[in-house]
Amino acid sequence: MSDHFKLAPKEFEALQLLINHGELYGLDIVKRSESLKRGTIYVVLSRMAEKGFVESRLSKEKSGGPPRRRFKATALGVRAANAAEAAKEAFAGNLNWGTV
Amino acid sequence: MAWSDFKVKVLKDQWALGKTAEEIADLINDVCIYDVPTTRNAVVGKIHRLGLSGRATPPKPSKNHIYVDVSAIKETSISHSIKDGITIVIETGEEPARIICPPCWRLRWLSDFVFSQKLNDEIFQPMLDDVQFEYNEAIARNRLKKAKWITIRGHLSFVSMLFALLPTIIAKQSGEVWQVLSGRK
Repeated sequence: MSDHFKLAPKEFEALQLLINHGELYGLDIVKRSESLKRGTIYVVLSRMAEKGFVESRLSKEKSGGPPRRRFKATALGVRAANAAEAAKEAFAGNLNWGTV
Repeated sequence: MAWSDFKVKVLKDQWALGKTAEEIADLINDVCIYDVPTTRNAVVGKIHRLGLSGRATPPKPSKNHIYVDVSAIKETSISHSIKDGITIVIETGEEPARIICPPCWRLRWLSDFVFSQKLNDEIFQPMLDDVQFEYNEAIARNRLKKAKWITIRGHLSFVSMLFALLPTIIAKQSGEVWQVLSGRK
């Protein structure tokens, strides 16, 4: 159960992009990200789909070519990202407070 | 209806990507579920007020290339490895017309043959679809060298994806073997 709420840094980044930009293709996520690579993005997305953080659908392109899979963050994904963000801020805050 | 900074950013991004006003309205409504629904007309109005005129158009095949869905072709002259649903490019500039195989089509066949349906649908095929989309885009702009590079990069991505998946596959397989062995004991 606890495994479901772990959010790796790459997962967090992909999730943030999906939350900020709405529905995206894997390639769009890679283009908008600095650390995510073409070879790993779908592995990351598949793991997040298993956890219920993202969902996908196939959409047919007007310009031709195969139907493409579009991903978007679920409500659970948004909550997980917010929680991870809050935890990160709290941790950074504690560190600052500790060094003063 | 209030246009928040977020909604305006989504509108600008999606408009630049070539989405229609209706698609943008649907997207905004999907994301901002607690706000008053955004209509297509509201999006059109905002586009005019923002003065967004120029936009990217989706790629179209160049004069010498046409895209054909393999499922639409009755003849079996095309290799059986190129499956339905994949778009091929036909070069019409030459006589007779020449079929350009889709990029990484052997990898499609390989992943379909080796991996489970789930892995294929969720991981390998979307990646290969992206490669094909980029490839089509390059072909449409007559950037043939770029298209070749995209194919090479697709193969490299496939290999790195295999390495990324390897620990999971090994762990799963060892777990299954362990269960079988411990069951025998």
